[in-house]
Amino acid sequence: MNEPLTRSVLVIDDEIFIRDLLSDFFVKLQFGVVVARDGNAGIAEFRKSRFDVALVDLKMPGKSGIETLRELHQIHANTPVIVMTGYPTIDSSIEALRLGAYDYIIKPFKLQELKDVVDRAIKEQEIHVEIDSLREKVHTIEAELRQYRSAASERAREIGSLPGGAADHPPVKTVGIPRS
Amino acid sequence: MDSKPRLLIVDDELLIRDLLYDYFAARDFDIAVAENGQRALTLLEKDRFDTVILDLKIPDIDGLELAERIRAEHNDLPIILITGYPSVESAIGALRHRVDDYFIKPVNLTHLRRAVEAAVARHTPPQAQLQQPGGSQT
Repeated sequence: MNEPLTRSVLVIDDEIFIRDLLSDFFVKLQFGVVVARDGNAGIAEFRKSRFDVALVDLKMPGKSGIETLRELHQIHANTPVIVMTGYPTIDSSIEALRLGAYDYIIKPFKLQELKDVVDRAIKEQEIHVEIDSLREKVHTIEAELRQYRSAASERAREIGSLPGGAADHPPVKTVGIPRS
Repeated sequence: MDSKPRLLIVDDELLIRDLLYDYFAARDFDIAVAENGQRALTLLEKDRFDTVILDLKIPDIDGLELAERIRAEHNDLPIILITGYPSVESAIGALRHRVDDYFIKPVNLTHLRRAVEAAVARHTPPQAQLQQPGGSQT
Protein backbone atom coordinates (compact mmCIF):
# COMPACT_ATOMS: atom_id res chain seq x y z
CA MET A 1 0.00 0.00 0.00
CA ASN A 2 1.29 3.44 -0.86
CA GLU A 3 2.04 5.71 2.08
CA PRO A 4 1.76 9.49 1.84
CA LEU A 5 5.00 11.10 0.70
CA THR A 6 4.89 13.93 3.16
CA ARG A 7 5.77 12.03 6.33
CA SER A 8 9.13 12.60 7.92
CA VAL A 9 11.15 11.04 10.68
CA LEU A 10 14.23 12.17 12.58
CA VAL A 11 16.44 9.33 13.85
CA ILE A 12 18.89 10.19 16.63
CA ASP A 13 21.20 7.31 17.52
CA ASP A 14 24.94 7.04 18.07
CA GLU A 15 25.11 3.57 16.48
CA ILE A 16 25.67 3.80 12.74
CA PHE A 17 24.17 0.36 12.25
CA ILE A 18 20.88 1.50 13.78
CA ARG A 19 20.88 4.78 11.89
CA ASP A 20 21.44 2.97 8.58
CA LEU A 21 18.91 0.27 9.36
CA LEU A 22 16.17 2.72 10.30
CA SER A 23 17.03 5.09 7.50
CA ASP A 24 16.77 2.33 4.87
CA PHE A 25 13.57 1.03 6.42
CA PHE A 26 11.76 4.36 6.50
CA VAL A 27 13.04 5.46 3.09
CA LYS A 28 11.49 2.30 1.67
CA LEU A 29 8.24 3.34 3.35
CA GLN A 30 8.53 6.68 1.51
CA PHE A 31 9.34 8.68 4.60
CA GLY A 32 11.62 11.63 4.45
CA VAL A 33 14.44 10.60 6.81
CA VAL A 34 17.09 12.66 8.58
CA VAL A 35 19.62 10.96 10.83
CA ALA A 36 21.75 12.42 13.60
CA ARG A 37 24.55 10.73 15.50
CA ASP A 38 24.05 12.47 18.84
CA GLY A 39 21.64 14.61 20.82
CA ASN A 40 23.07 17.97 19.83
CA ALA A 41 23.09 17.15 16.12
CA GLY A 42 19.54 15.85 16.41
CA ILE A 43 18.34 18.96 18.19
CA ALA A 44 19.94 21.12 15.49
CA GLU A 45 18.06 19.16 12.80
CA PHE A 46 14.86 19.39 14.82
CA ARG A 47 15.18 23.17 14.96
CA LYS A 48 15.74 23.39 11.21
CA SER A 49 12.78 21.30 10.04
CA ARG A 50 9.43 20.03 11.22
CA PHE A 51 9.22 16.26 11.57
CA ASP A 52 6.18 14.07 12.04
CA VAL A 53 7.99 11.93 14.56
CA ALA A 54 11.41 11.64 16.23
CA LEU A 55 13.16 8.44 17.33
CA VAL A 56 15.70 8.98 20.08
CA ASP A 57 18.17 6.48 21.51
CA LEU A 58 18.46 6.78 25.28
CA LYS A 59 22.11 5.92 25.74
CA MET A 60 24.33 8.19 23.70
CA PRO A 61 27.67 9.80 24.41
CA GLY A 62 27.39 13.47 25.30
CA LYS A 63 23.81 14.59 25.66
CA SER A 64 21.63 11.74 26.97
CA GLY A 65 18.47 10.62 25.27
CA ILE A 66 16.42 11.92 28.20
CA GLU A 67 18.01 15.36 27.95
CA THR A 68 17.53 15.27 24.18
CA LEU A 69 13.86 14.37 24.67
CA ARG A 70 13.44 17.28 27.09
CA GLU A 71 14.91 19.73 24.59
CA LEU A 72 12.96 18.36 21.63
CA HIS A 73 9.75 18.91 23.59
CA GLN A 74 10.79 22.44 24.45
CA ILE A 75 11.24 23.15 20.73
CA HIS A 76 8.09 21.46 19.37
CA ALA A 77 5.99 20.05 22.19
CA ASN A 78 3.50 18.45 19.82
CA THR A 79 5.89 16.31 17.83
CA PRO A 80 5.74 12.75 19.13
CA VAL A 81 9.08 11.45 20.37
CA ILE A 82 9.68 7.71 20.64
CA VAL A 83 12.47 6.63 22.94
CA MET A 84 14.53 3.54 22.04
CA THR A 85 16.89 1.72 24.34
CA GLY A 86 18.80 -1.48 24.78
CA TYR A 87 19.16 -0.71 28.48
CA PRO A 88 15.67 -0.22 29.89
CA THR A 89 15.40 0.94 33.49
CA ILE A 90 12.56 1.95 35.78
CA ASP A 91 14.08 5.40 36.26
CA SER A 92 14.47 6.16 32.56
CA SER A 93 11.00 4.87 31.72
CA ILE A 94 9.47 7.06 34.46
CA GLU A 95 11.51 10.02 33.27
CA ALA A 96 10.38 9.41 29.68
CA LEU A 97 6.77 9.30 30.93
CA ARG A 98 7.20 12.60 32.80
CA LEU A 99 8.74 14.25 29.77
CA GLY A 100 5.86 13.18 27.55
CA ALA A 101 7.55 10.58 25.36
CA TYR A 102 5.04 9.00 23.02
CA ASP A 103 6.51 5.52 23.52
CA TYR A 104 9.47 3.69 25.01
CA ILE A 105 10.60 0.72 23.02
CA ILE A 106 13.22 -1.81 23.93
CA LYS A 107 15.96 -2.93 21.53
CA PRO A 108 16.08 -5.26 19.78
CA PHE A 109 12.64 -4.60 18.33
CA LYS A 110 10.93 -5.74 15.18
CA LEU A 111 10.84 -3.09 12.49
CA GLN A 112 7.17 -3.76 11.88
CA GLU A 113 6.46 -3.02 15.55
CA LEU A 114 8.33 0.25 15.26
CA LYS A 115 6.41 1.11 12.11
CA ASP A 116 3.12 0.43 13.91
CA VAL A 117 4.13 2.75 16.75
CA VAL A 118 5.24 5.45 14.32
CA ASP A 119 2.02 5.17 12.31
CA ARG A 120 -0.04 5.41 15.49
CA ALA A 121 1.93 8.41 16.73
CA ILE A 122 1.43 10.26 13.44
CA LYS A 123 -2.26 9.38 13.29
CA GLU A 124 -2.86 10.58 16.86
CA GLN A 125 -0.96 13.76 16.16
CA GLU A 126 -3.13 14.39 13.11
CA ILE A 127 -6.22 13.90 15.26
CA HIS A 128 -4.88 16.36 17.87
CA VAL A 129 -4.25 18.93 15.16
CA GLU A 130 -7.79 18.44 13.89
CA ILE A 131 -9.22 18.78 17.42
CA ASP A 132 -7.20 21.95 18.02
CA SER A 133 -8.46 23.38 14.75
CA LEU A 134 -12.08 22.58 15.67
CA ARG A 135 -11.58 24.11 19.15
CA GLU A 136 -10.25 27.25 17.51
CA LYS A 137 -13.33 27.42 15.31
CA VAL A 138 -15.63 26.95 18.31
CA HIS A 139 -13.84 29.75 20.19
CA THR A 140 -14.23 32.05 17.18
CA ILE A 141 -17.93 31.26 16.90
CA GLU A 142 -18.41 31.77 20.66
CA ALA A 143 -16.67 35.15 20.48
CA GLU A 144 -18.88 36.19 17.55
CA LEU A 145 -21.96 35.06 19.43
CA ARG A 146 -21.00 37.06 22.51
CA GLN A 147 -20.47 40.15 20.36
CA TYR A 148 -23.82 39.61 18.71
CA ARG A 149 -25.59 39.20 22.06
CA SER A 150 -23.87 42.27 23.43
CA ALA A 151 -24.91 44.33 20.38
CA ALA A 152 -28.46 43.00 20.66
CA SER A 153 -28.63 43.95 24.36
CA GLU A 154 -27.29 47.40 23.61
CA ARG A 155 -29.83 47.84 20.84
CA ALA A 156 -32.62 46.69 23.17
CA ARG A 157 -31.53 49.26 25.78
CA GLU A 158 -31.51 52.00 23.14
CA ILE A 159 -35.03 51.10 22.04
CA GLY A 160 -36.17 50.95 25.65
CA SER A 161 -34.87 54.46 26.41
CA LEU A 162 -36.65 56.14 23.47
CA PRO A 163 -39.88 58.08 24.21
CA GLY A 164 -42.70 55.63 23.76
CA GLY A 165 -40.13 52.84 23.77
CA ALA A 166 -40.03 49.76 25.90
CA ALA A 167 -39.23 51.78 29.06
CA ASP A 168 -42.74 53.26 28.90
CA HIS A 169 -44.29 49.84 28.75
CA PRO A 170 -44.36 46.89 31.12
CA PRO A 171 -41.00 45.11 31.14
CA VAL A 172 -40.35 42.57 28.45
CA LYS A 173 -39.11 39.29 29.80
CA THR A 174 -36.52 38.28 27.21
CA VAL A 175 -34.70 40.01 24.43
CA GLY A 176 -32.12 38.28 22.31
CA ILE A 177 -31.41 35.35 20.13
CA PRO A 178 -33.90 32.53 20.07
CA ARG A 179 -32.34 29.33 21.34
CA SER A 180 -32.77 26.18 19.42
CA MET B 1 -18.75 27.71 43.32
CA ASP B 2 -16.67 25.23 45.30
CA SER B 3 -13.09 26.06 44.35
CA LYS B 4 -11.39 23.20 46.18
CA PRO B 5 -9.64 20.78 43.82
CA ARG B 6 -11.28 17.37 43.89
CA LEU B 7 -9.04 14.38 44.37
CA LEU B 8 -9.90 10.70 44.11
CA ILE B 9 -7.57 8.36 45.99
CA VAL B 10 -7.72 4.69 44.95
CA ASP B 11 -5.76 2.29 47.14
CA ASP B 12 -6.67 -0.97 48.84
CA GLU B 13 -4.42 -0.25 51.83
CA LEU B 14 -6.30 1.60 54.55
CA LEU B 15 -3.08 3.03 55.93
CA ILE B 16 -2.21 4.64 52.60
CA ARG B 17 -5.75 5.93 52.04
CA ASP B 18 -5.77 7.51 55.49
CA LEU B 19 -2.30 8.95 55.11
CA LEU B 20 -3.06 10.54 51.74
CA TYR B 21 -6.51 11.68 52.89
CA ASP B 22 -5.09 13.47 55.93
CA TYR B 23 -2.22 14.98 53.98
CA PHE B 24 -4.32 16.40 51.15
CA ALA B 25 -7.30 17.35 53.34
CA ALA B 26 -4.92 19.49 55.39
CA ARG B 27 -3.96 21.21 52.13
CA ASP B 28 -7.49 22.17 51.21
CA PHE B 29 -8.36 19.40 48.78
CA ASP B 30 -11.80 17.91 48.54
CA ILE B 31 -11.20 14.16 48.66
CA ALA B 32 -12.98 10.91 47.94
CA VAL B 33 -11.42 7.53 48.57
CA ALA B 34 -12.00 4.15 46.97
CA GLU B 35 -10.63 0.84 48.17
CA ASN B 36 -10.96 -0.89 44.80
CA GLY B 37 -11.38 -0.25 41.11
CA GLN B 38 -15.11 -0.81 40.91
CA ARG B 39 -15.76 1.69 43.67
CA ALA B 40 -13.47 4.16 41.89
CA LEU B 41 -15.41 3.79 38.64
CA THR B 42 -18.69 4.30 40.49
CA LEU B 43 -17.41 7.49 42.11
CA LEU B 44 -16.09 8.73 38.78
CA GLU B 45 -19.49 8.21 37.20
CA LYS B 46 -21.20 10.24 39.91
CA ASP B 47 -18.77 13.08 40.54
CA ARG B 48 -16.30 15.32 38.81
CA PHE B 49 -12.66 15.03 39.88
CA ASP B 50 -9.57 17.02 39.03
CA THR B 51 -7.01 14.26 39.60
CA VAL B 52 -6.89 10.56 40.48
CA ILE B 53 -4.15 9.01 42.58
CA LEU B 54 -4.22 5.35 41.70
CA ASP B 55 -2.41 2.42 43.26
CA LEU B 56 -1.10 0.07 40.60
CA LYS B 57 -1.96 -3.06 42.57
CA ILE B 58 -5.57 -3.16 43.68
CA PRO B 59 -7.55 -6.33 44.21
CA ASP B 60 -10.32 -6.30 41.63
CA ILE B 61 -8.85 -4.55 38.56
CA ASP B 62 -5.25 -4.16 37.44
CA GLY B 63 -4.22 -0.55 37.98
CA LEU B 64 -3.16 -0.07 34.36
CA GLU B 65 -6.44 -1.52 33.14
CA LEU B 66 -8.29 0.83 35.43
CA ALA B 67 -6.22 3.73 34.10
CA GLU B 68 -7.21 2.70 30.58
CA ARG B 69 -10.89 2.55 31.54
CA ILE B 70 -10.68 5.94 33.21
CA ARG B 71 -8.98 7.33 30.08
CA ALA B 72 -11.77 5.95 27.90
CA GLU B 73 -14.43 7.84 29.86
CA HIS B 74 -12.49 10.86 31.11
CA ASN B 75 -9.86 11.56 28.51
CA ASP B 76 -8.37 14.65 30.13
CA LEU B 77 -8.52 13.56 33.75
CA PRO B 78 -4.99 13.43 35.20
CA ILE B 79 -3.97 10.08 36.65
CA ILE B 80 -1.01 9.64 38.98
CA LEU B 81 0.11 6.07 39.62
CA ILE B 82 1.71 4.96 42.86
CA THR B 83 3.19 1.54 43.42
CA GLY B 84 5.25 -0.48 45.82
CA TYR B 85 6.11 -2.88 43.01
CA PRO B 86 7.72 -0.78 40.29
CA SER B 87 8.83 -2.34 37.02
CA VAL B 88 9.94 -1.20 33.59
CA GLU B 89 6.88 -2.92 32.13
CA SER B 90 4.40 -1.06 34.31
CA ALA B 91 6.18 2.26 33.78
CA ILE B 92 6.03 1.73 30.01
CA GLY B 93 2.40 0.67 30.34
CA ALA B 94 1.71 3.86 32.28
CA LEU B 95 3.44 5.93 29.61
CA ARG B 96 1.36 4.26 26.88
CA HIS B 97 -1.87 4.92 28.78
CA ARG B 98 -0.95 8.60 29.06
CA VAL B 99 -0.65 8.43 32.84
CA ASP B 100 0.58 11.78 34.10
CA ASP B 101 3.06 10.57 36.68
CA TYR B 102 4.37 7.44 38.37
CA PHE B 103 5.64 7.31 41.95
CA ILE B 104 7.33 4.52 43.84
CA LYS B 105 6.24 3.80 47.42
CA PRO B 106 7.17 4.96 49.95
CA VAL B 107 6.09 8.13 48.20
CA ASN B 108 7.72 11.45 48.97
CA LEU B 109 4.58 13.41 49.83
CA THR B 110 6.02 16.75 48.84
CA HIS B 111 6.86 15.44 45.37
CA LEU B 112 3.45 13.83 45.10
CA ARG B 113 1.73 17.05 46.14
CA ARG B 114 3.67 19.00 43.51
CA ALA B 115 2.65 16.47 40.86
CA VAL B 116 -0.99 16.65 41.97
CA GLU B 117 -0.98 20.44 41.96
CA ALA B 118 0.58 20.52 38.49
CA ALA B 119 -1.99 18.00 37.25
CA VAL B 120 -4.90 19.94 38.78
CA ALA B 121 -3.63 23.16 37.19
CA ARG B 122 -3.49 21.46 33.78
CA HIS B 123 -6.93 19.94 34.18
CA THR B 124 -8.88 22.85 35.65
CA PRO B 125 -10.39 24.83 32.80
CA PRO B 126 -9.84 28.58 32.94
CA GLN B 127 -13.52 29.21 33.67
CA ALA B 128 -12.91 32.78 34.67
CA GLN B 129 -11.66 33.55 31.19
CA LEU B 130 -14.73 32.04 29.57
CA GLN B 131 -17.25 33.96 31.69
CA GLN B 132 -18.24 37.19 30.07
CA PRO B 133 -19.53 40.08 32.14
CA GLY B 134 -22.98 41.01 30.98
CA GLY B 135 -23.46 37.68 29.25
CA SER B 136 -26.84 36.00 29.25
CA GLN B 137 -27.87 34.85 32.70
CA THR B 138 -30.70 32.64 33.67
